[in-house]
Amino acid sequence: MAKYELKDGVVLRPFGTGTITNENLTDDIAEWLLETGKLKKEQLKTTTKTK
Amino acid sequence: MAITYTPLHIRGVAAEPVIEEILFENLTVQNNLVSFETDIKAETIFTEATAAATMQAYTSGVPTSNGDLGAFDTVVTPTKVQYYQEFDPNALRFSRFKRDMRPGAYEVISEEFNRVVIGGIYAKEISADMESKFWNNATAATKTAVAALTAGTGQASVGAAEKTLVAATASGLFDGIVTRMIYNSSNAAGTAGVGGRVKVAGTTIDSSNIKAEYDKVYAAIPAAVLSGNTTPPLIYAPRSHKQLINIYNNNPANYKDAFSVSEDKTQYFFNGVEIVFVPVPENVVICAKKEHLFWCTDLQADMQRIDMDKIAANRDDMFLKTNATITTHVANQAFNVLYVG
Repeated sequence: MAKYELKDGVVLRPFGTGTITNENLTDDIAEWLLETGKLKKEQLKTTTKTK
Repeated sequence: MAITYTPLHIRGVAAEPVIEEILFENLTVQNNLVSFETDIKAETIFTEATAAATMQAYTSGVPTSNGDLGAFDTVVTPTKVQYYQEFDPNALRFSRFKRDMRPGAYEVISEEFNRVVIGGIYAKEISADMESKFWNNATAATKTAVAALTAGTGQASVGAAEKTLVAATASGLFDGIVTRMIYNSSNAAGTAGVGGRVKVAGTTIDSSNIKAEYDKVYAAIPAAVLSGNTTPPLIYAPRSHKQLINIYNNNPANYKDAFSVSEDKTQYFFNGVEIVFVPVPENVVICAKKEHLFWCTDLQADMQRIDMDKIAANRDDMFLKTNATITTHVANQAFNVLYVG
């Protein structure tokens, strides 16, 4: 089961085009987004554990 | 699809001309920013050759063979694509476009509508869409394959940023250049895998750090690419970077502009390498010779052709159709830099 899940309605556009949603979010993508500040912890569901 | 039109009943004079939305020109095609390989119906072979020369001590006896001569083929078949929509010209009878329709119930063709909306805006949208997809596109199969890779920092691994980029890219009918640089089968083994690009891990680029990030791209360019008598490489940058560069250069504390910009703001250079602005994603920069990036198609003019006719002889509604073929190919991968942040 994936460690990271976005809150309902959260859609990320880290490159201005294209989207990251729960459908294509993997753990390594989530961790990179968190490291680079493109994803905030508040945008993740509270049951999700972050590094 | 019907014409979506919100008309007003015309009592006076309509303002000329019809106001068009502002679209980017397809500069990739217009300015030949990449190499165009045409007349490809299917299965065209791109061959790359390599050689290694090894000096050894002279012997008057039987010499030992040393060095290497190699070549490999990549088969490229463009994907056939289509733009198609239907419309009912009768809907224009109540619009400004009725002004140039000839008298008669059978006459519903407006030359102004054909010229401005179809031949103008719609044709430009097709061209812009093809250019955008040339740079940004990924097939579902490639997205699945890249998603299954383990990200790593080494050159032979897909980067976490690259993996995120491919995941975020909308599914399309062929792999665009950026995706192709990240994942392809253009190698001696002919097996699909991480591309041979020079990978540069980046960050979110803004007007304050753009120079530092371009330093990373420039430092990663293989020296052979910058030297020699062959055509110089280009830096392919997001369109937003034109503004970021101009903002960065507006720094009175700098004795010298980091980015060289022509007086009329049409040409941009970084350390002598020309920057061209194309629809690559934000925080993505490519540096490569244009001879290494290929737009493969049957006929380049296909994307500029729109067929318009009645859907059937017994109907008055009409169709617009454009058929074209397109795919991408990347050669000499070890000499191409891909920055993703």
